[in-house]
Amino acid sequence: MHKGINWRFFNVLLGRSAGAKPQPATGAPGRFGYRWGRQQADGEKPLSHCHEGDNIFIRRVAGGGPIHRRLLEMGLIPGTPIRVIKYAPLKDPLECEVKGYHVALRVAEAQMIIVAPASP
Amino acid sequence: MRVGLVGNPNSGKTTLFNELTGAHQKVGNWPGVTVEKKEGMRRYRDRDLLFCDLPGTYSLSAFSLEETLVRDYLILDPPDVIVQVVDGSNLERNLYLTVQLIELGVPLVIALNMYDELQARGYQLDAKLLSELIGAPVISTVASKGYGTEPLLAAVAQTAQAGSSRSGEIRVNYGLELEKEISALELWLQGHVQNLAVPLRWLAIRLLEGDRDALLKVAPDLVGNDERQKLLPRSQDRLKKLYPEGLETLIADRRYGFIAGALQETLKRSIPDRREYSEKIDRFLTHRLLGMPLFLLFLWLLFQATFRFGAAPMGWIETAVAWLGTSLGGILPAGPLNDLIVNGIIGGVGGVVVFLPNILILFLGISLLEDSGYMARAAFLMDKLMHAIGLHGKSFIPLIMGFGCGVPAIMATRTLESRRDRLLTILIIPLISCSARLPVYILFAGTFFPHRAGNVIFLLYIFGVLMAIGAGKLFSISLLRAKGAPFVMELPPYRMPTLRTSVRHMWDRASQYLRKMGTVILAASVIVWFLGAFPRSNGEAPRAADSFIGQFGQAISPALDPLGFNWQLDVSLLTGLVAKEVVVSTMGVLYGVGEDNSADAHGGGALPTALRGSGISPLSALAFMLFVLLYSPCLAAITAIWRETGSWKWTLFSVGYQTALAWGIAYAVVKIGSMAGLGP
Repeated sequence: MHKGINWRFFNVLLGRSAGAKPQPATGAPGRFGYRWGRQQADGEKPLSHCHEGDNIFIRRVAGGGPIHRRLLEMGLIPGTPIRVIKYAPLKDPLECEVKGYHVALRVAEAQMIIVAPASP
Repeated sequence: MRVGLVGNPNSGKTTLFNELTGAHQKVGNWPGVTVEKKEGMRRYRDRDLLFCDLPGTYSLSAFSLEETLVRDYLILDPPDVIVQVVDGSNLERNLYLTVQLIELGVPLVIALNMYDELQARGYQLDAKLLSELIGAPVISTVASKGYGTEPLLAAVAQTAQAGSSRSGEIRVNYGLELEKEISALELWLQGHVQNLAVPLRWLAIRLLEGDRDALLKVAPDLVGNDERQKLLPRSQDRLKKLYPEGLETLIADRRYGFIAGALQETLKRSIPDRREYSEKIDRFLTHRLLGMPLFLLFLWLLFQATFRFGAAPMGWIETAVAWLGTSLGGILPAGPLNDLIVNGIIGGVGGVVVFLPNILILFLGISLLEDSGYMARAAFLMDKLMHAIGLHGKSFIPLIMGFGCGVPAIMATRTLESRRDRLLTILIIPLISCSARLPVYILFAGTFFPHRAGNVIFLLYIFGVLMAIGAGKLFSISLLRAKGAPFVMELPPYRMPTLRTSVRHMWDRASQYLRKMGTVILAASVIVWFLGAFPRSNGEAPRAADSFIGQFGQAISPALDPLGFNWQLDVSLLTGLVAKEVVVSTMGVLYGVGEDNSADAHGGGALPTALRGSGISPLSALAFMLFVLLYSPCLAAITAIWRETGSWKWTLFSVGYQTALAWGIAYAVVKIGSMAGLGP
């Protein structure tokens, strides 16, 4: 009975959409020295690769410049749990909850935030 | 006594400021920058308190113009007391700024705002204990309802009297190694500088963080100091080896650790968090499929409201202005003074005042959108599109406002954080077809394209948008190539805007608009009238062609001849610089058909007939409409651009590039059209 129903369709309609598609697995070091497409052994990945509902926390903030400091000051520091709420209709930016408030980040900025799954 | 108000954006700071100072406010600009400076007076127990509402900042690290401004204000021109407005429903992040203020050692009072929300979420805060932990009094307030202002003022007075708060004694522990470096640096500083306006510890930390600007501001002699130049990098290298994630991370981590510790002791939750309320609303408003259409719906509603509800009051004001004109005209003796007052001043200024209802409603709508928190969602939805043009999601609303009137749209760019984004948005706003151009379109499209007028006008609007997009893209890859601010933007929880605060915000902006535009338009109207009324011959007003402005129009007509415009059109373009609607009334005057310049659906009417008979071709009419769409912004807009950019250069550039663009496009249309056989 369930086979005939297109669950993906319902999920999309109800807003339970998947996040940005992960980058192709090249294995080569990316912009911040991070290997795209291949997760580190302990499950580290950039925030931009995460989906709604992932149980994650922040490991570190890569990159530099004023944006780096800005992210830290806004509360995105190592050890903080972060929750992906949704991606915008055009897949960019994404809305997250951290330290009790909602923040919107462009995918380019979210790529700088390295997260890992929280232990259940 | 001077009191500075600081705090995060969205913390209700401005609402509190309005509560405290009421009508006694003064708005200006910070010297040298285009950031708004608001000051207001409040009398408390026979003392006069001068409150200064500083721009909202997340930190004092001087990342943005606003942060630098606030930091400089605190170290170079410190007030007697600082009140930090803290969003009680969002304590952790708000307290970050508090920690920085504590380190700066300023006399501090915390206004724990939105206390009602904190309670509604099921939290309880031990304000007394928190005061002790951070060394500053914590006063609960609900600014939107006016609660807590008395205790706050009392605390302010008390702190001012004490001369400082205990905050100077509280310190964040940055860990053994960093503390060692800080002490070493402090020691060195002590030996080399006297009468520092800031605590040594604060300066030491800033230096280690790499903030050279702070040094420049508080101890400029040390900037070139050799010893420091060697000492500091050595410290920083040592620390970099010990902390590979970087000093910034460590410092932020420690500060938040301090905050977490303080909140652990003071904040308790008794019932489950009800924050999901906002999220539930967002399920629809930022939904993947519904989000955009809903947003467009809200915009459409906003504009409908502006024109529908504004229409009636507009009519009243028009009648009132006309009545004023005729009565004064009857009272004053005939002659130039009569003419000046009735046609020049009342005609000119009246033309602007008539739009007041529209402006008020538009601003009210914008205030409601902002205060409720929806504005942030709009930027969230639109950011990808805007980014493709080289803009920021927050630029969308000002651009949309450009369809109504460019002046409030330009003023609305204040919400953009980076100067580059603001400038870029301001440059392209005038390309969007504002409502003032509509009379010109209606007249010309109605006259020269009688049965397709609606389509032609629609195409003009679309063309305006395309030009804006093109110009935005062009500027962002050439003149304004800097990347623009990163997007990181808070999405505050939805709040029910109180009518009180929204009306206040609306009135704030509207009165600014009136005051500034009014004076400029008044001056401009008088000048234009003067140019049209002189030189007199035989004590009579000159015929249009002989007046100064007529001569000027004829002088520039060689430049516009290739476009197929006659001198009447040229003169109208000149007068249109004051306000685009004036194009139509000027033509009415020049063709001698008086004020009746309507064109009905079939192209009938006095002025259309006159136009058709004047030998202008439909092709040139189209070129003319395009010219009006694109050329220099009206005087009010030019003034707004000048005020918001703070630069003659950019204002002139705006006028120049738009006029050149207008000419170029109009010429291209005429040329291509004639080659295609459509022209004269």
